Amino acid sequence: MAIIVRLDVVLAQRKMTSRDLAAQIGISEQNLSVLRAGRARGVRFNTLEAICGALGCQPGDILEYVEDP
Amino acid sequence: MKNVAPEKLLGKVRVLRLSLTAVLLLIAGGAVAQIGYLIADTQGYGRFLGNATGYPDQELRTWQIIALALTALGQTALWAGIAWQSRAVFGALEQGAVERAAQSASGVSKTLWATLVYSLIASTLAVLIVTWHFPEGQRAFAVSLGSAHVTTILAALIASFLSQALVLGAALWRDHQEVI
Repeated sequence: MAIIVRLDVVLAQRKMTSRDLAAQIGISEQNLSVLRAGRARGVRFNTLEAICGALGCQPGDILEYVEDP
Repeated sequence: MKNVAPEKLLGKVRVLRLSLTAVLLLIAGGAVAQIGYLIADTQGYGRFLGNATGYPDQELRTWQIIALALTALGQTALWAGIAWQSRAVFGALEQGAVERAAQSASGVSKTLWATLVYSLIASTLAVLIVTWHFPEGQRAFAVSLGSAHVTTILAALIASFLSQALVLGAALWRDHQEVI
C-alpha cells in the first residue's frame, strides 16, 4: 500500500498506549488496531482530527505516502 | 443529514418480522382448514371450490375435488413460501446480516414471479378440472388475468428492486465498516 500509517511511531514518541488513545478518542481498540496495522480502507476526518488532537500532532505525522517500487 | 436511530429501525423490523410470522401462521391455518374441510365434507368443499372457480352448484367427482384442492394448496404453499422468505429478510436485518437479507429478498422476488406464473396456470387448470365432466363441446379452457395478477407483478418488481437495494446497501455497509 502506498499510504503508510505511522501511528505506532507517534504513540511510542508520546509514550502512550493504543488502549489509552482508543479510550480518549472514543473508538474501539479493535478499530484502532486495524488502523495501526494499515488494514483500514479509509479514515474519517473526524477520527483523524480526534487522533491529532489527542496526540498533539499533524495528519502528516500519522500518514505517510510511499511510492510503490 | 438525517440521523437515523438504529433502535427505532430495529423495533420496526422486529414488528414486521412478527407480523409476517402471524401471516405465516394464518396461511398454515388456512391450509389445515382446507384439508380439514376436504376430509370432513368432500362434496361441500367441492361446491365451495366450484363457486370460487365461477361454476357454482356443481356436483364434482372426488378426483376433481382432490385435483382442485391440490391446485389451491399449491397456491397456498407458494404464499407461505413468500411469507417465510419475507420473514427471513427481516430476521436477517434484525441480526444485522444485510447480505443474507438481500439473498432472502431476491428469493421473495423469485417466489413472487413463480406465484404469478402458477396462479395463471392454476386458474386455467381449475376451470378445466371443474368443467371436465361437462358434455363434449362444453368443457372450458380459460386464461384469466386480473387485478390480483397485476398486484403480484408490482409486488415482484418491488421485491426485485428491494433485493438490488439491499445488495447495494450490504456493499455500502461493508465499506462503512472498513472506514475508521
